[in-house]
Amino acid sequence: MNLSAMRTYDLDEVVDVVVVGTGAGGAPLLSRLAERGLRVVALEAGPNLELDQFTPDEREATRINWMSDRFSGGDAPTAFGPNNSGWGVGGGTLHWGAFTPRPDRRDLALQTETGLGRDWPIDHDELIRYIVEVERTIGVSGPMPYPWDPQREYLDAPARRNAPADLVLQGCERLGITATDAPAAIITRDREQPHYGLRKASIDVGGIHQGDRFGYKATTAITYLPVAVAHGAEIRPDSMVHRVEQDEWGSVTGVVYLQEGVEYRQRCASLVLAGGGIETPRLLLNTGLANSSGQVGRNFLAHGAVQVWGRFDESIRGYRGYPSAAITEDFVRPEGVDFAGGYLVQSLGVMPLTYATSLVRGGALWGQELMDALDAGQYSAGIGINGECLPSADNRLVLSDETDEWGIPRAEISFSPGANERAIDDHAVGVMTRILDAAGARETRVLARSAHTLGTCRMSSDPADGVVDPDGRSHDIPNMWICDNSTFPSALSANPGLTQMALSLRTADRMVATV
Amino acid sequence: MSAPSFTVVSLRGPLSGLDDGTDAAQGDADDGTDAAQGDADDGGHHTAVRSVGPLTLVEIDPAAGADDIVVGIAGAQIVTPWILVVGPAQHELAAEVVDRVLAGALGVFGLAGVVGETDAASETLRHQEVPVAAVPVGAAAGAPDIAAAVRGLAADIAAWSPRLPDAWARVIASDRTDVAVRSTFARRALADDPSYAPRALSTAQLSLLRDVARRIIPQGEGAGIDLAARLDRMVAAGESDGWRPTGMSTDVEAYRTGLDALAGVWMRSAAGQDRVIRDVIDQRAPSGDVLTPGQLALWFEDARNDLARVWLSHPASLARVGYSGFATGGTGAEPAGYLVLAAGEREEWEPDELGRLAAAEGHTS
Repeated sequence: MNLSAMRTYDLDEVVDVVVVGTGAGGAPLLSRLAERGLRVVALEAGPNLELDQFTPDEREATRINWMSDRFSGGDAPTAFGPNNSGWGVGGGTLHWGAFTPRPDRRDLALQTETGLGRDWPIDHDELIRYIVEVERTIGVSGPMPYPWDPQREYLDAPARRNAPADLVLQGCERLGITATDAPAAIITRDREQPHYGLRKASIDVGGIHQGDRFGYKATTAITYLPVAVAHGAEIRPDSMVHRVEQDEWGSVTGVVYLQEGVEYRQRCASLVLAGGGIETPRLLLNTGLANSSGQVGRNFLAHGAVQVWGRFDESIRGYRGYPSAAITEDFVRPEGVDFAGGYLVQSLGVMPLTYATSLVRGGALWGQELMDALDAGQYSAGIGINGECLPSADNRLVLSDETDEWGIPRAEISFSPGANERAIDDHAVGVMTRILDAAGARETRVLARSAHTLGTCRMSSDPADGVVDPDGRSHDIPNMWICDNSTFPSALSANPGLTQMALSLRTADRMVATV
Repeated sequence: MSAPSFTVVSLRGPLSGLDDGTDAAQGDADDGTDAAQGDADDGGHHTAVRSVGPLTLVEIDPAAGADDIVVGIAGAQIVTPWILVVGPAQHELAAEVVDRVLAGALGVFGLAGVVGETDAASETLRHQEVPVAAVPVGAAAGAPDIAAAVRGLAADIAAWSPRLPDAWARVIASDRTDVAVRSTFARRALADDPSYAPRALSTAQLSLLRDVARRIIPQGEGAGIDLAARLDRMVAAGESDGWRPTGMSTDVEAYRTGLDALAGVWMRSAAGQDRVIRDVIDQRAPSGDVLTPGQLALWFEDARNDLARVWLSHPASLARVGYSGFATGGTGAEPAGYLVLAAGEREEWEPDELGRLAAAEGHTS
């Protein structure tokens, strides 16, 4: 993004707020604080990318993913890199799928409902008010009426249906399952974005996760961050924070970061960590901060994301069109089940290398069977879930013995699905297989997968049970806040991006009210 | 089987020896005698195009410099692999042309090699990526030596790299495809060097990895990609997928130790190799002193995934699986997207095999 005319601050100036990270957590907050007149500096570990650096080529496109190795273990090691991590000004929104269901009211009260997991210490109505604001700001398209929330309004018509969406909708109709076009942060009409300029309407390509050169997908780099810069925020790319400085009472006084191998210190009155579910707990564990509860790094959550792929007679070529153009929310609380929570279902198109990786890692294919499956890829349509994940103390992030290119210990994440996650997966595989069969699939194949990095610094009303309070403020350090998906107490069945942007505005408002 | 079609782009004038050789090599008289002649539509550049059997000869006046030469090549609308032929004084020029082509110049795709006459030990031609054949300066212009070198290089290239169908080359060369993507594809499409010296692995490790690659990614009939060599380069360059199984060392170390462990149990026969592969995946194979069976299996999953990704990222592989999504964005007046999304249907610019031609119904202008 264009940073050439932005205001800059001296390192010795005590700015009001330093924000670490510029994705769905950091950016909305940064813009809100700047609009309210605060002097704010964002430190982004990755580079500032120009639009022509985005490419549909999946190997080259990893330049927008956090590719410095993380260690992944447990019974079902979750894949990092292109699967769930952002890199650069815009953070995870550079690569996100822009799939924007709203969080379900019941998911925020999971513990009250089932005795399992955690409730969110946040009022659903308040969260939805922020979500509506985010949807209007970034441009979310969707169908009206929305079957599971008829009063809901979307700005523009949904993205066009591609072949997988057609088939999933057909299959659902035949089974009596309600399904419709998915809400997505993909604009379907040209849009003048404040402080950015013209965003072109969707051109119906499938390379959403590889980044977008034309502005049809909302990233923070073309929505919130230009607003922030226009109101005096400074964004420093290539800046990896590795230390936090405190005064004798424990309050944060500044952060120390590395930029091209040189160490700098920015003084600040308040600090917001928004590096996401891996980098925020890694920084806290490495500095030993904000962990009186012992909860930093605990309760790592990854959404269940199992997929079923059906082979059809006609060529599907689901790399065309928005990949997840159909949704059903009928299984947020399925009837007659013995698990807590539920899942969203989406149709799936996919890019070829991503599909190959799923066949190898999730389907354990090799040899002629793999080649046959790759050749059949263009005749295949997918369907997948985003499923609830209950917190577990054993699923956690710790520091490894190996250090990375900045000299910081690498993160080591262990993830093993519990009985609830396995039950959701089983149920979903049954439902999705029936939908594809009803749509006329010749054969189906299940590909195991998990997605997103949540929960490692969860919010709680009780300081012993979490890392931050319901506003996002550290239980231990009064002028330090966390604003990213590490604060999620439970995973929710909705994909996290939209909810996180809403939480970001909410935390910003709470900060403004107190500083 | 007839020889695969090929194009020769000459900056050094006529190559008559090539015509003769082609005619002689081409047993089928119908193909060999219908040489067509004409001027390419290249906006007034001095370009002559002639077809001789499976060969197309494109002569381009070198006087105008590298930029205009590239425009001339684009004007010839070459959809086959092509070899650049240059004279002894044109090595710098050849390097400039190759650089522009590998950088993704609009309208140009399929550069497969360079043949250069040389009267000294010229290193300029030894472009680090492109297959090159040097011919000592001998007799008159159009010497049979050059023709032989061109035919030899063409045969090598055909033997060492999969052939991209013409229709797909046309899409890659077109303005539907971004310059950066075309550049990436131009490099990936280059034939592998059969005498490739490994950078990350030992020669024995590379050899075993080639064996493994044949079982994991059976490329089928015809010339294949040297996946093991490409993976060695990738590992040496530190290209990873952003994570490692807990406890595993860096990719370079993992490949070395993994392959060494595999060498201890590897078999000669294909069936035996498949058994070993199944055992490794199931953690039943002896894994040596360094790795546990579980770690060997984890590394092997990474290796299988890397091999699949290396294979599939070659443009010929993408064409084989029917993926046209690289040709989006582009450099035209409007961003290139998809107008037709329905099953069974394709758009006019897409290769025929992708479906029935459908009327465009998208809303992009």
